[in-house]
Amino acid sequence: MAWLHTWCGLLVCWVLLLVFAGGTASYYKEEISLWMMPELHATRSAPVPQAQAIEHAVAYLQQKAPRAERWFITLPAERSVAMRVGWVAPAGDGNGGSARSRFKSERIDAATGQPLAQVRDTRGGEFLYRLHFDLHYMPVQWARWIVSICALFMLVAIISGVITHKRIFKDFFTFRPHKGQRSWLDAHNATAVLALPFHLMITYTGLVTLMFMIMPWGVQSAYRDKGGETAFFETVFPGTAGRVKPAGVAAPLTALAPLAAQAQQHWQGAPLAVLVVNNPGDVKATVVITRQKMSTLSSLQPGLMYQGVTGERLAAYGDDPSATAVTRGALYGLHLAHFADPWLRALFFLCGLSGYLMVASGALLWAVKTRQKEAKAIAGGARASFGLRLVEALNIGAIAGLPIALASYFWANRLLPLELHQRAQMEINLFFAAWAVAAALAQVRPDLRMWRLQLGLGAALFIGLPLLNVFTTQSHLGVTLLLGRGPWPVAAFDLTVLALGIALAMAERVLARRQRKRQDGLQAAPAKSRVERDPVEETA
Amino acid sequence: MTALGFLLALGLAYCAWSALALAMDRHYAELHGRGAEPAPPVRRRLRQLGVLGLVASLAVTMRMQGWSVGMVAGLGVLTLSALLQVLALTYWPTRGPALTRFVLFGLPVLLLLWAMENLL
Amino acid sequence: MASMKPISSSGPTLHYRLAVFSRALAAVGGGYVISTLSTMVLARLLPMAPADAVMTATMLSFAIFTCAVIWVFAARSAARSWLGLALPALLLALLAWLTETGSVLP
Repeated sequence: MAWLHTWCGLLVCWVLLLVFAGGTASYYKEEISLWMMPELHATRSAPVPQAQAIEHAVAYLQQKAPRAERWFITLPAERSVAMRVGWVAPAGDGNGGSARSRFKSERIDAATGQPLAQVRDTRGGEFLYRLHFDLHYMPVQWARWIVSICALFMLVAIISGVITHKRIFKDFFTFRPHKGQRSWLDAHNATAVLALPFHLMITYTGLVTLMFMIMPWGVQSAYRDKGGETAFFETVFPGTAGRVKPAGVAAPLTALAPLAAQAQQHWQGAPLAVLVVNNPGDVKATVVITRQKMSTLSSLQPGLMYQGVTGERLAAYGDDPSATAVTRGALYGLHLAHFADPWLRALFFLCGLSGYLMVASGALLWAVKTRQKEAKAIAGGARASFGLRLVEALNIGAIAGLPIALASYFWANRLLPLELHQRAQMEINLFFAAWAVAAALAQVRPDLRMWRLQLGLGAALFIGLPLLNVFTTQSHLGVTLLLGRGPWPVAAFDLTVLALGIALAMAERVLARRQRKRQDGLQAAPAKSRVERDPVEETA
Repeated sequence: MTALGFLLALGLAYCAWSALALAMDRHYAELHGRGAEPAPPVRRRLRQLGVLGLVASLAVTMRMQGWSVGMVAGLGVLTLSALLQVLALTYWPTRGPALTRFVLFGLPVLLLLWAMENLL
Repeated sequence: MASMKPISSSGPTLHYRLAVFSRALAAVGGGYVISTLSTMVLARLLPMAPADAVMTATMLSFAIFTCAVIWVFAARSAARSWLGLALPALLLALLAWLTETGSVLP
């Protein structure tokens, strides 16, 4: 069972580090997006009335994409600043492929109906959110399969870990620092067990969000004679309803604002989320309006469908969800944590960090243990085994390299020229470029010095971010915190990266001390063997 | 969740973990000398207090946020307080109980303020 | 796995390696087959609205997969682990076939 735990964990740990890093950051994806768009920091505008926002969006879409297959209008939510409109360009016209590849979106100002052109082009926090399940540079299906398989391995690792941890209660509060392998085991146990409810929940609910992709057989089997998959998905995801082929007959779209008002009344004034217009300008147009998620656990979003030309209400979905639908909504909601207030969100963030440290300490524990097992052979003059060297290098590249990559993404946001073509993609490219360099360097010299270099670099980049802010924006900590002018999320971001940078610096200092101690030890007894070269083990 | 409620729940859970830790041989021995073990009635009492404290902490979060969200928040509070307790036990083994006593005496004040906040 | 001698003087025995590989195959392949079959059967047999039955069955599939994997590595031998998967799989396959053809069950 211990063997199962070790191998399930080790095979996928580096992907899981990426998933944890991206996912944990996603808890604050909107705050991150705000930080990455300094042009929006000064505007503390009053909320725009819904009818006006909708009218502006429709006018903009009418002008920009009159023949689109589908329009999306996302109303400005509580934590967002601007309004997002999207459309699916019609096939042909030089646009090929799936609806997903023909999807374009822009941010517009809800008050003026004009695009927020003066805001720099950036994916913001959305990149980090998408990163943790869509990865990048590959078709999303592949990425989601990879992440799902890793999640399944993690689920098995969690259960097998609990089974094999016989002293789980006795060792509940145990942490013995400065004891080499035992310390890593204690760290792994602590970060895993103390946040066990979170780890179990986030893994299982993550699988639930992708469950129809990796386990489609239930749908296919049960709905074979009931209209197939489409029928099932229309029941479960009302936002996808109404996607019929256009009739090819032009007809003016009815005014959307009154429909929105009607929908809101139906839901006793609850705020709306998205308006989807299928086949705008056609006689077979439909409008699907979904309600925002409430602050309860469930992520369910009831929807209303209207005829696009007459405005007649055609269907209502999800108003009376069954217990199972509520359960699914709750499981989905737990993963996304939309319901979390600032304190709870901070707790989720902390647990996510704990997850990152759990995976990292597990991988480091294996490396330390294996190096000790091979110590005699290495002392006798043999090289470290291929597996050991690979894991040690991957550890540095992933554990210390990811912070470097993240920081580079934020640095790129501040330093790339605003008019750069495909600026948003360039920021993302720099994230991966920085990570690649870190990982490559780690492969060359996976030793203590490389750990110190990369941890130190990560620390410098993170601590440097608030400083960079001073030179590149008007909304640095001096203004947001000391003068108290806000926006508060921007100050919180600066403080958080500062704290993370300090933590990385402290880790680097610990390693520096260890290196010095080892060098003193070497000078005192020059006949010491090559076993000293190991990266992390403390030969106390 | 308000700051007061959060701190109250955190404090309750922290003291509860202290009691549960003290009921264990290893951490009892850290204070009372190697090989010392808590007498059975003492161990039982400590465990009971610990469980009571955990339940009280959950009760606070569930009062603030309802059953489901409150349970989620409560588990998060338990995680954070357990982490703090591990750090205290590791780096301040002899001064840990003093810290727990400090938190314990602060709890009635927090409780009063939180109750007032709820009633007003 | 305790009954085998895993390490000889020159490293893990071939027998051990094969047994581990066999278990890994059983766990991943057999586990997925079992969870698929149980999802299909539950989706049709659970006494709720069709959409609900499908959702419940699918949500449970990961727990079933995990249990199958744990079983495979807790079983006393590789052969036993395959047997422990094959029997339920056959039963589920039979149930699935019966529900598909609609002859006996809904």
